[in-house]
Amino acid sequence: MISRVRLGASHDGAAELVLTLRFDGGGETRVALGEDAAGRLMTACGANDADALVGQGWERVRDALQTSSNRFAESEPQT
Amino acid sequence: MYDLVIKNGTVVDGSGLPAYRADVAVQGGRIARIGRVTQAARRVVDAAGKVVAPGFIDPHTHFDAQLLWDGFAKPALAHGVTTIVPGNCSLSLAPLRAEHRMKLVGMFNQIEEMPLKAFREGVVWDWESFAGYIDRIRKGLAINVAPLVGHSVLRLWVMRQAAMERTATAQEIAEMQGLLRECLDAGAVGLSTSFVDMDERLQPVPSRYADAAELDALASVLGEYGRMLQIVPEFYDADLTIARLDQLAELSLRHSIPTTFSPLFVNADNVEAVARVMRRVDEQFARGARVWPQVQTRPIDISFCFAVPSLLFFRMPSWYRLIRFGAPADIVAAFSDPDKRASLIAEAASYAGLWPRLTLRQVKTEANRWLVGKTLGEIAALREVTAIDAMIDLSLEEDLDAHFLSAGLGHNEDAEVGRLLAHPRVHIGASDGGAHILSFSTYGDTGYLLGHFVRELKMLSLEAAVRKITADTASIWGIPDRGRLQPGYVADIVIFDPLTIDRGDEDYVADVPGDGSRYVRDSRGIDQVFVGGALAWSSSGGYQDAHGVVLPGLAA
Repeated sequence: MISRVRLGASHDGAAELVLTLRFDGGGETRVALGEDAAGRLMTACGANDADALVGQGWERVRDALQTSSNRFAESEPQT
Repeated sequence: MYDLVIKNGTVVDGSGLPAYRADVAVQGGRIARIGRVTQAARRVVDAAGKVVAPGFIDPHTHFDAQLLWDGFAKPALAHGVTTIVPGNCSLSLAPLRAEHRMKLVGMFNQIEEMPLKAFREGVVWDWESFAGYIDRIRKGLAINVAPLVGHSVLRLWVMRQAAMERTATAQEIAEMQGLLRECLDAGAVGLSTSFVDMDERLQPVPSRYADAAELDALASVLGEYGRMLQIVPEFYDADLTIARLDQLAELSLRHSIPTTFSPLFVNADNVEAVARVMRRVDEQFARGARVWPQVQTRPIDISFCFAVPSLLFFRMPSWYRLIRFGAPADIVAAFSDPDKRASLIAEAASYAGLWPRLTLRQVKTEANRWLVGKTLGEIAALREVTAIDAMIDLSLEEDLDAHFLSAGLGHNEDAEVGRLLAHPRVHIGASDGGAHILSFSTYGDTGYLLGHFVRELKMLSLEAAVRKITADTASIWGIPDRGRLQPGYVADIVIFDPLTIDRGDEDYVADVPGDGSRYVRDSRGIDQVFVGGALAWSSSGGYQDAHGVVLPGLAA
């Protein structure tokens, strides 16, 4: 589940959301979400404030990243 | 008679040994003598009070496109950088079939934020091969270039559309190996690949579809030449980064090649994670592998405008909802409505310390242009309002197209960054010069190193810092005859004032083809820059008629 949320600075100078995920076994990892994915996650969780994401399951994060990543998948490649 | 004598300077020769007072004589583009020079010269430079050092080498840039219209790689030369390495992160502009040009432009646009219009109007596409690209940039080249070839473009050339769909067959891998040999013969300094980047459709770039066997086969070709493998690992996660550097170490040992990964950032909450990465780097070096982490000197700044949603407001629900879900007209309406505005300002009061520190970066009206570069605190004082009011007013005056910057929000722990930069197994780089041109300036990292971390914080000696961006870089990349002030070495030289060297203020200039603009920084404290013994830039005369070369010099 999401155990911590903070603001991050992405490589290209945009603000990003850095989530700490804590697993049942005690392990932790961090995931960085860009604006689009973070917005999808907050909408899916009904969160008004990013801090309300704490306690949400990691599957929500996976789904947000997946739908965000797929948003251009149907567009034509520029070949 | 010498061509050039630089007299009375303090020589910091790139070796890391203590500085000393001496004259430097240049003949035929190479350093002829260091010591007392009494012989006459065609040009004599008095460097009293200044440091005379080897030209700086920037190992992580994306100047691939800019070099097609600007052989100086401006403003890199003005910062004392005499050699650049473009082609990082799996992306180079060759080898490239004509049918894939727009695909690659899309990737450069997505990943490195190079404007499409600059490619359309600034590039004459008259090459396909790597040698053809080298010939193309060699015309008018003033800076030295050691270009990488990108793994993604190798795949595109050999596999076409399948490069973005699957692993390669044995036959395709063999073809990529042959193509890589051609590139290395034409002057490529190595191969770059990426494990994280996304293309213009937000799908993985071609290099990410490669399996371990493909990378191993390409590394074996690098081994034939002793050339570099550069990668972008999953840098946001320490465990994945460690796994990648283990993979790099195996390739380094198996094929006897240098490898480097970039970037490696350190923030308040990942100090221990970075320490774990560095412990593994140390372990792998102890085994005899070469796995160089690249660390940039500058902190990461965040910029935003209210026309585009930004996570900077993620802890202010009313702001975030408005910016995320509101149309521009909704945002203008909310900023203009006294009650809603008051409510937004009340919520923003929790972060009262943030707003005055924000800097106005960019506007579109002439009336506000003189305010660019000032903080909201300064603008608020001028207008006799609060900083948050100033931000809202400016946004309304600019139709939401006022851009603001919050400086130093990432890679911003000076003590930790300085410790990393001074680490003997850290490679100073990752500037990204030539990329992200609409977001921030990628120039002046060397000045920031020498001004901030050497002079102000004293975390490295001047000699150690110069060595890291000259001789160490040349050694790591296998670049011969450069990076040192030593008789016989090529006379790439920078003269600077150690008391004032720094990066200048960020500026937004209109010098990109297609009526484009970009963020740049001027240099401070740099006096003169020589490439191959010829004056390339001076603080008094600007850019000169210099002649750079394509390194490592194997190109015909």
